[in-house]
This record gives sequence, C-alpha cells and structure tokens, in this order.
Amino acid sequence: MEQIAPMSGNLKIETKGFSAFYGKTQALRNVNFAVPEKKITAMIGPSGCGKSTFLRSLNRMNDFIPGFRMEGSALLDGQEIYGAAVNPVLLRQRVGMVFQKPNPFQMSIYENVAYGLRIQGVKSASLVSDIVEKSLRAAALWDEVKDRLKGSAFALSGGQQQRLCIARALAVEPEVILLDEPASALDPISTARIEELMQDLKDRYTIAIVTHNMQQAARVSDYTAFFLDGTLVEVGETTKIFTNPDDSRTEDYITGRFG
Amino acid sequence: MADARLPEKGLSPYRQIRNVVLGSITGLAFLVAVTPLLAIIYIAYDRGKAALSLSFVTTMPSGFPVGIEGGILNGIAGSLILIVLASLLSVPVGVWAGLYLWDQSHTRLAGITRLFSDLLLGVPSVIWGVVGFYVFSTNTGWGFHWGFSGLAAGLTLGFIMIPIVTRVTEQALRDVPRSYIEGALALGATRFQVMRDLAIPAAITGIGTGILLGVLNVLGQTAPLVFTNYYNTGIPHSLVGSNGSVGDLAMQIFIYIHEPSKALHVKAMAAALVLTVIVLLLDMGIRLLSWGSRKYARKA
Amino acid sequence: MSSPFISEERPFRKSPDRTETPRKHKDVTMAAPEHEQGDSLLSHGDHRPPVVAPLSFLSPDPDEVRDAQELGRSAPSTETTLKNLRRASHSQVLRSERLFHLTLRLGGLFILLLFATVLGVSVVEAWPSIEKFGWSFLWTPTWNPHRHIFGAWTYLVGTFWVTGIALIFAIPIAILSALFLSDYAPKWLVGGVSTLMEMLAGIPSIVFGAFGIIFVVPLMRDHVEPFLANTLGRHFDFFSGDAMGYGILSAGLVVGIMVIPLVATVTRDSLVMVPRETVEAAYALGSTKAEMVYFVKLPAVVPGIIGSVILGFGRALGETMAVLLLVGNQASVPTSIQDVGYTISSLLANTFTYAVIDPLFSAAEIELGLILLVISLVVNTLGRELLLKLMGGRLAGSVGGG
Repeated sequence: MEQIAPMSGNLKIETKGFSAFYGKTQALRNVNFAVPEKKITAMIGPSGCGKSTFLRSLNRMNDFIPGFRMEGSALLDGQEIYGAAVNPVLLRQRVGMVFQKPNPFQMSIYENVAYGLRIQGVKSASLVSDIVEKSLRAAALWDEVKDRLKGSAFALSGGQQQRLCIARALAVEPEVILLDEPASALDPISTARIEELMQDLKDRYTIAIVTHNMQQAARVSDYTAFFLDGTLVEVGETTKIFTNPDDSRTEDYITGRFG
Repeated sequence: MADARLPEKGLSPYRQIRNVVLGSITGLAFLVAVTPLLAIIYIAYDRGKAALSLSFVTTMPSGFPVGIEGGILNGIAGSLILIVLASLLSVPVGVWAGLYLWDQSHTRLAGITRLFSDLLLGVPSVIWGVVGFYVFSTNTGWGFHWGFSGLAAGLTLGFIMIPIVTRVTEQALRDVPRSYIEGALALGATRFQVMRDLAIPAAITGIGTGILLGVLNVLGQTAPLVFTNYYNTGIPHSLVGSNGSVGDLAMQIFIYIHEPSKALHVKAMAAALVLTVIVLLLDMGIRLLSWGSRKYARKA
Repeated sequence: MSSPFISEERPFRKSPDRTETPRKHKDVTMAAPEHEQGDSLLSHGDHRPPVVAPLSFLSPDPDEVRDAQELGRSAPSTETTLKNLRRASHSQVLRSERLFHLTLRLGGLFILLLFATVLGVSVVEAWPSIEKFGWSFLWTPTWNPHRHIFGAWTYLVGTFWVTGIALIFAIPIAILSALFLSDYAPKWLVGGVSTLMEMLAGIPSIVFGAFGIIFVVPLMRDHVEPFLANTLGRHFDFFSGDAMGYGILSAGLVVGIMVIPLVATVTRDSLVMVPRETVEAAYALGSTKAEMVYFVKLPAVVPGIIGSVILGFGRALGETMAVLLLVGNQASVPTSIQDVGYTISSLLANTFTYAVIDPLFSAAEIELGLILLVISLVVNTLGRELLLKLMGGRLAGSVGGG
C-alpha cells in the first residue's frame, strides 16, 4: 500500500515502509508518513491502533522495551533515525517528548526545567536561568510560578505540571516535540491552555501529537493522520480529514461509528 | 426423579457449627504461633533480669569463668565492628550489582546474575562459615591467612549481606515510576545521568532499607563466626591474625548457654534480651523508613 | 525478568523472543556502542568537525563570532551555543556511556564470582572424600575419624528428622494463622498482628537456642516426654524413651516455632492475592465464611502454600545454632522421637575446627556441607519459583538460619 502524504512545506520527519514489532506481535505495518516542519500533526485512532508506538518510535523511546524491533526507515531531516551511527541520547535532545501523565521530577520547579541543560553540561548559572525563564514563559507558566521557583514541582496542579513538562522539554531547544496524549489526564480548562500553548509553539517547533480526542485533533492540528490496526489509513489536511475523508474507515471513525 | 427438590432455605445446624469451629481454629492457631515467640522475649527477660542493669551493657566481662561477673561490652563492640566490616564490603558491591541488574535488566547476563544472586540467598550459614574459613581464616593453602579474626568474620558476614542488598536495591530502583525515568530519557539524558539524578535519589530510602535489612539478617548470625572468628572476651587491638578475634553478642550467648553454670545462663538470657531488643528496634526502624517513603511516594 | 522500562500494560512482553534481535539496532538497552564513525544526527546537518573542549557559555567563543561575522551572520545566540555544546559532548557521551555500561557489569560479575567461590570451595575441599567414597558416602552409616571411614547416613537421617518434626508442627499452625491474618482477624487488629508476626520472624536463632535450653529442655524432660512415654509409648516404641529433654523432638519443636512466622507470612501474602471476584462468587452461591475460606480461597493458593512450605523447609534444613544446642549431638540414627541425634549443620559447627587437622576428615565434613548446600539451593529455587509465579516478583529474601 503506497501512501503518499499530501503535505506541503519542508518535511521534518519522514518514514518509509516503517514497521514495528514487540516480540512476535506486529504493532505497526509499513507506515509511510511525514511530519511537516513547523506545523502541528495529529495522530488519531482507536486504542491499540499503533499511534503511540509510532510516536515513541520517532525518538527511539521504544528502545527500552525488550523485544522491540523495527523495519523500514525513519528519517529526521533526511537522516536515518535508526542508523548505526546514531546515538539515541543525542537524538532525543533534538526530538523531545511530553507524556500522557505529567511526570515532573522530584526537584524544584526551577531544577526541573534546568535539568535538561545540566545533563548537557551547561554550567553557566546566568545562561541556565535565562533559558529557564524563557522556557517557562514559552510554556505560559512563568507568571504562575515565578515567585516559587524553588518550590516543589509536585505542589503544582496537574495542568501546571504538564506545562512544566512542556517547559522542561523546550529548555533543551529541541526541533521536534512529540506529545503523547498530553491532555488526557487534565481538566477542560487546563486542556484549553495546553492547546493554546501548542498554537504559540508551532511557529518555532515541529509538533506531533497523539490524541484520543478527535475534537482536539480538529481544533489544534494542521494535518491529521488516522491509524487503524497498526496501519496508516489516511493522512491529510485536518479540514479535509474531518469533512471529506477519502477512506470510508476514516469516516466511520470520525463520525463515531466505532472506536 | 420425582423427589428432587432444593434443600430447605437457611443454614443447617451442621453448617453453622462448622462455620464457627473452622473460624475459631484459625484464631487458636494464631495464638499457638505467637505465644511461644512472645514467651521467648518474656523468658529472656524473666530469667535474665537479675543481670540486667545499665552497667551490663557498659562493662567488660570478668570473673572466672569469664563472664560470671561484669557485662557484655565486648560482645556489643564486637558485633558493631563486624557489622561495619560487613557493610563496608556488601554495601558497595551489593548496590553496584543491584544497579547493574536494574539497568541491564533484560540482558541474558543480567538474568543469569539475578538467578545466582537469588541462589546465594539460599546458602545455609554453615556453608558461609566453611567458605569464610577457607577464603579468609585458614593458614594453609590459598586464601588470605588472616586466622580467626574480626576481619575474616566481618567479610564473611559481608558475603551473606551482598545478595540481600543486591535484591533490595534492584527492587527499590524498579519501584521508581517508569514515567519518571522516561521523562528524563526523552530530554536526552544518558542512562548514567538518569541513574545518578533521578533513579538513585528516588530509590535511596529503599536502598537504605535494604542495607538495614541485610544488617538485621547478619546481626544474629552465629554459625559463620564459629568458623572464622570464634570469640574474644576483650576488645582486640588488631582485626587480623592470632589475636584478631572480636567478641560478638550472638557468640557470647552461645558460649554462656553452653556452660553448665546457672550464673552464666542468667547472663546469657540477659544478653539474648539485649540482642532481641536491638533486632526488634532495627526492624521497627526499617518499617518506619519504608512506611515513610511509601507515604512520600504516594504524594509524588 | 522485567525491566524498569517495560510498560506493565503491554501484553507483548509476555512472549519475549530472546533470539530475535532487532534488525536495525542491536543494542536496545543503551546507546549502541558502535557509533564511532558518524555524528550526522548530532550536528544539525552542520558537518564541521566536533569541538571537543567544553565551551564557555558566559561569553561567545571568539572564533565563533569571527566565523559568524565572516559569513555575514549575527553573533551566536544562546541557541547556537547550545548546539555547539551538543556537538562537543558527542564523543564524550559515547565514551562515558560505554564505560558506564561496562563498569556496571563488573558489579554483576562480583555476584557470579561469589557464587563460584561458594561452590568452588565446597567442591574442591570436599574432593578427597568424594573421590574416596563415591556415592556410597550417602548411605554409609559409619563415621569414624580414627579408621578413616566416613558416611553421611546418620547425619542425613538426623537432619531430616529434625526438619520433619519442625514442619509437621509448623505447617498446620502456620497455614491456619495465615487464614486468621488474611480473613478472620478484625480489621483494627490485622495490621498490628501481621507486623508482630513479621517482626518475630527476625528473632535471631541463637536466642531460640538459648530459650530451648532454658525452657524447652526442662519442660520436655519433666513433663512432655514422660507423658508421651506413659501414653503412646506403651503401645509404640516410637514414642518411648528415657526423657532427657535434649533430642530431635526438642530441636524439631524449637525449629518449628522458628519457621512458623516465615511460612505464615508468605502464605498470607499469597492468600491476599486471591481475586475479589472469586471470593464474591463463593459468597453469591450462599457459602458461609468458612466454606468460602476453606473450600474456595485455600485451594486457590495451593501453589503459594507449597512454595511457602518449601521455603520453610529450606530454612529449617540449614538451621544450625538452635539445633546444635538442643539435638544432643550424638551420632546415632534416631529410632524414637525421644532420641538424640546429630544434623549436618550442627556437626559442622561443632567439630569442623578440629576436623581441619585431618584432610580426609574435613573433606568428609565439607562433603556433608555440599549435600546440604545442594538440597538448600534446589529447595529455595523451587519455593521461590512457585511463589514468583503466583505473586509476580515481590519476595523478600530469607537467609538460611544461623
């Protein structure tokens, strides 16, 4: 099945014939996909359709799962993500990730954001505090936490924690941010803030988001991809996918006939 | 089957009685299980109270046979020395191995290592004694030739502690939430950085608990000391060689109770009470520690 | 065999196909060690050679500024500085990761070395005896250091007598106590008594031995053994004897008391794993509480009970000091429950230090120890496996008694 992504602009990430396996179970089948630069690309589909696996494959977070292996190719700026010469640690500094459940570290708010810089060996206190402030501002959290930067990150609300995790990801200046259902554990108001934030960020970052929530995909994304049973069924401009999909399965899903 | 009908509603007297009897039996069994254990503590107190005083734990044994007068300071000091020596060996090695098992968890070599670490948990203490004797104490053949000494015994106890510390360290690290670790990896942290900055700080109470658990396990060990240290009525100046033996609380109880002397038996029971109280306090400390950390983890 | 990075909800991990290695990237644990040659993904498409020295971030690197000016770009911002840092750290990251990987592995090797030492010492030092007596060592009842004839039979039998008496006494009480803790104890009491039970399991065995000498031996000598001899002993020689207090009965009872908390605690842990649905299903059929507990819950945890009994067996088998003090230490095969005997571990603790004078004598003792070691390892592994299967991993270690 040859899926040509009808996408304009520079393609930041591209996969060709990408398949993924956990042991003998095939989680992804021959996915040909592209994430355009400085756009928001949403991935939707029912549980277990492989969308999260796909997202996690893009910064090699699946490497930690025993029995995981892949076939095909995934490219970041035309370079093979799974190439023998690639150090996944350095890959992940370029392709950041925000998870479903907010996972701040057991450190102060400040240290959470600074952590990514510290592990890269940034010693300069003024540079670190500049970047921390910049990142917190970018994550629209600065005004809420600027007076308690030394306080524990666990004292924040769920939504604030998630924005802190976004700020933490931004601090290392990645080029791509992968969001794995970032709002599924949040209340509607926090969700709205995260969605606003994504719009602000897309000028500077390439964003890929996995979501359970079709309305969210329709609201925030420029492109939408629909996954089903490990295959990419359809991908296209969000307006088209939600109004006039080519594939009948996509139509069934977005009109709520299954999933 | 014209006669087939359901039994009458309600419980037959047989079932009612059986219910009560089978229930009561469990309570009775529990009492049978716990009473001797509590009796041990009570009898140690009752038979040892004549010797119990503050000076019992602060003075050296004296009189003839030695111990008939004075206290058990040599045993307390010796046990302390042995625990420190055992920890000096087992904490670095055990934590190190635990870190390895956690980090490279699913590799074949780690699987084998985990298997052997668990096997070591099942090695009987007399075997540890024999091993300690040949590795550290014996003065013939290969080995360290340290004689019956504190160092030989301490390191033998260290051997016993290693698999305990290893297992608990690995478990404590595994209890660190996966999301927490992934958060750091997604920032581009190396495994070393994740371990140093996140996993170890989050697991440190668990690791500490494991070390204390190991100490608890070797504190009452007597058999390995018979092979590697035996006993000293004083406090030695050296921990190696022919005068290197240390006193030890458990060994002291063994020697006193082995003597056909009522007076020494009183001392033995008093020492047994002291040892039991130390062990129970340590146990309680471990429980408080892990309870506290669990409470903290729930908040996180 | 789960890694901290396995997601619990993934069904895939249950079928780990170990031989199937990832096709593209071999080492999934950490950064693959073989990426020396390229830094394509690290340099942001900028193919200048990596700068190795860490850069100062306070002021922009003068070379960098000049380069940038020559190229007509603006001086480097924080962003470019950070990117330089990434290039700089590439080789360092690789080197340190590989070193870290190997260093950790050394910690694991120490465990393997320790096990090899235990097994090696036992086999090597027992070898003269193994060589001389062969398999017949196992069933030879003679143990005569002067005539250099050694056989394990007496001690094997003594060990199994003491262990057997301990388990016959301990198992029913421990299992019923476990039922009390899991189902019958009132809610406000259950935490306290469970903790009490667990804590009492930690009382050192030398204390049990001293208790045995002071309390159990006189009790047996003056009351229990005469009573046994006068009742059952009139009909069965097995229960008769001349009431010494010391012997396999006293030793077995004390060891039994010692293993009850272990068996009870582990059994309770498996009882509380019985799914709520099973319990509710039993009640919904009109079971009384006892019918639910004994006919539904207890059968559901049979593997756990077997596992805990096996662990208790292992603990009793290796028990040394209490037995040494109580069993009588006489090398004869017991024929009555009131007889004295000798166990492997008490023999070793009692006589090893003078047995070493004679190489064959000490070798025979160590061969006995080796038999004990092998049985203990098998027993512990078996019990642990059964429990692991049932409880999925959480089991505190128990060291063979001292």
